[in-house]
Amino acid sequence: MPALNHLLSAFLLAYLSITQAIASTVVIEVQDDRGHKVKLSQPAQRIVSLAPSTTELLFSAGAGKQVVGVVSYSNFPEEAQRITSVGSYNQVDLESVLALNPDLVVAWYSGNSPAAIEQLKRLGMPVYLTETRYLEQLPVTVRKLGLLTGHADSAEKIAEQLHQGLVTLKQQYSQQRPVRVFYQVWDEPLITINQENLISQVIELCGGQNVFADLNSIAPRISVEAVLQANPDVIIASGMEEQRPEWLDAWQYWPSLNAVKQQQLHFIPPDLIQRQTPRVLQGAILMCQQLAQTRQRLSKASNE
Amino acid sequence: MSNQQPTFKPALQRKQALYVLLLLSVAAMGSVALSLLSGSISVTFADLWQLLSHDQPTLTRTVVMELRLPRTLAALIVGAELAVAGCLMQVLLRNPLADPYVLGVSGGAAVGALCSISLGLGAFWISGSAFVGALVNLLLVFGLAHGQGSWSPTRLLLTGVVTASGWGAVVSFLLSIGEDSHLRGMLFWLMGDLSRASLAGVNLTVLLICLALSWALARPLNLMLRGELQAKALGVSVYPIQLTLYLLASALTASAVTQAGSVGFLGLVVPHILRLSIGTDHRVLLPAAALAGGTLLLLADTLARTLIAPQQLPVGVITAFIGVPMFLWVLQKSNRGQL
Amino acid sequence: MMNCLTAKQLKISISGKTICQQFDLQLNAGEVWGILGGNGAGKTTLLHTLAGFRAADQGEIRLFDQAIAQLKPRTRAQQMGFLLQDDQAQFPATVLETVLQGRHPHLGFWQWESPEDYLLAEQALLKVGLADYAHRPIEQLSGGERQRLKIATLLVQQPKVWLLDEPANHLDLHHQIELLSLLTAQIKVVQGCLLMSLHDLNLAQRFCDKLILLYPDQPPEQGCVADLLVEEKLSQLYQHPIRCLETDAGRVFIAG
Repeated sequence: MPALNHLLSAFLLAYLSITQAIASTVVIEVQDDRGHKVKLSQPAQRIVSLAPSTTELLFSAGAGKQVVGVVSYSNFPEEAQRITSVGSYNQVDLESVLALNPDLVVAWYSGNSPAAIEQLKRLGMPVYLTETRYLEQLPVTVRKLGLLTGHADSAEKIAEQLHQGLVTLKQQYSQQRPVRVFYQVWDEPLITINQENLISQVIELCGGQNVFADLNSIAPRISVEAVLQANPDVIIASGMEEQRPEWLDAWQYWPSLNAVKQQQLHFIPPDLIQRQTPRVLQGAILMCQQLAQTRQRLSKASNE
Repeated sequence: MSNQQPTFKPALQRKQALYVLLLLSVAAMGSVALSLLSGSISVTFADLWQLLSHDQPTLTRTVVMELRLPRTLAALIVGAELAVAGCLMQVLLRNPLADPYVLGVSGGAAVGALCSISLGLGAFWISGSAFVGALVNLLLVFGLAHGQGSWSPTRLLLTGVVTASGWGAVVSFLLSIGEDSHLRGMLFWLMGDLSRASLAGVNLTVLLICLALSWALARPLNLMLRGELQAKALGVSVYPIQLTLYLLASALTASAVTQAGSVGFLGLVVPHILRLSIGTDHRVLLPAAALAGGTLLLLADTLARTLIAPQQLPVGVITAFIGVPMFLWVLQKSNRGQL
Repeated sequence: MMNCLTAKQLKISISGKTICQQFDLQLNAGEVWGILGGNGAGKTTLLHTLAGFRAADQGEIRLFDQAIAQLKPRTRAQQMGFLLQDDQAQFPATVLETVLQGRHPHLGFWQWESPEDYLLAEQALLKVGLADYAHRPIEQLSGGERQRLKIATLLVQQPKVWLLDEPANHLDLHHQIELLSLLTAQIKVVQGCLLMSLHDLNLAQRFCDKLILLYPDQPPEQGCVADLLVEEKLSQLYQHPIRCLETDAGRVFIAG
């Protein structure tokens, strides 16, 4: 019965390959930051990243080489600047995205236009939406992106470092004597942040109190008088460039401010704190050091 | 019949006009006091009084003198400029829908300012380029409207409106390519914002000169509203007056826009509210518009600063919130007929 | 006899159509002139040119022996009043405010209206029957009332030379007769002159001393009423048969 045997084995083989095929259609499945399932049959090889922060997240997950499309201002790490651009995060050119024939799109929920994301999903594109509301989410996102891109191990390492870094800062600083912080996003118009903003959580992590935490909008515009009224112990600003903004020192005009009395006008490069990426850890370390300095000054002043 | 006493009392009418102006001045002063007293840091009337008598550098003093007073004066002056410019523009174009921005002055200024904002330049450059933009628009519209043929209000209006929409397109372009961190600044500028107001010496000079010149032309302006030919028939040199009006209205608008961005609505509504309530005599209307416009903008700005303090609203939003219902109410109550 | 308004060798054309050429005109003190012509014959254009609102192609117009083009608008308006055919009122104003505007050419730069000016305004409103309407908004007036308001403004202006573009417009029969009598009487008092365009041949017959006929297809003709108001000329003027009837109330013209 060699013929029958042959036939059977042929069937078996066919069966096996079919089940394998079925199984292989869903090899990787994760939930994105918005709770939607993202399924891939194999690790993504051609990734389009729709925000500077998602590009950074992908690179830190170890998937930098698979990124084939980015948006403008994707300036970190340096290699990202050489990748094809598909527009800006608020105006994505969908045709360029499609032309790159990606097998994964990583988008930014509160930055990209919902219509563009909807359109990509309708075209059958797997879309991972990032949205970082809490610092602890960052390592989780890195892990998931590692999983989707076939770098689970290296991503795990980075995520663990990030997690440990945040935990260490928390243990070291969050229970220290509170310092009243005014974080200045911009001067004209004068804009700060409320407690929903990730930066406010960094402030808390370092044992600071955001004096405008209770305002309603996430990036409220306030008056100079309101700052004078709140009388913060320290003013931290980012601005837009990599160097200290000139307008930060304009506060010297108000010697009655505690922050001016103690000479606590600090600068943190915007990319280290305003982007929701693993580099926030660097920004957080910087801020914790700055607040520690303020704390020192305050206790010295109260001793005198 | 010739030795009969007139039943119409000119003295009475002039007295009424004086009362109106007096009342508006009191309102303006009241709103100045209100503005100086309100803000995040509490300042009482007694504090204000003390400020006038002593000059020790206290926080209260610095807040009132350095933050509130310049902004208060700027609001007062910019409001006055816009209301007067609105009056003049409506006469020039003989169109009740005309406002200071209809000929594109604010559009030109906006393009200038937004360019500076998107380059990350400081307040001085923003104001400077806004002024240059307004000036470019002034020359452009004048040149185009003049053209080969004759200058008529309709031609001027069409040229201005089309130029303004051209500027609008450039503004949209700048907004869409603008860097994210600049966008808020751009939007606040477009909505009108007095937070960067500095001591408004230049504005005050422009206002006083333009107000004096236009007040000197007040009687001819009354005639211009009746139509170009009617004004000619009654001895008005129409063309020189149109030219003066164009320059005065543009100068006022340019100076207001440079200081505060495009604060909408004020220049359209204040002249109409006054026309409906105190009449069309520009000898009364122009000073009244200056006072009422200043008061309205100052009140709006005080509200913008304090309504959801410490958060700040753009003043243009408040002027519309106050202006629209006020205008509709006056229109309903008015028995001076429709526009 | 004093001549108030003269035109010499006048050529007027509008959009390529010549209205008159080498046209001489002399309006003397105390004279009432009428302009007759069909629609589009150029009555309004002729009046506007004579008033200096638009330039003539050729020729010269003199007002009391001064070239009208060289006169300051204010000086011109002190001597010459113009009743426009249409008015553009898009902004609110009261009847009194409007009628007082007639005083504009007589007031100095900084001068406000005096009680005398108000008295003149009141008298003018009484004459046209609008005294009770002084504080009404002009938008509430009927067409005829607006026409009377414009005439009142002219009365307040007190010019010597009156140019009226269809003064009978919108007026009912009673007011047509009353106001035209008032105006023509005024001419004799101030030793001025009056030139008006009319559509009603019977009004022309009743009030005018002299006429200008603007023919559609031949040069204009001027002369005494008696010479020009004849069936043959009028039929040609309007390109329509006109009949003249002798009645016990005088001559009456009707369209055939």
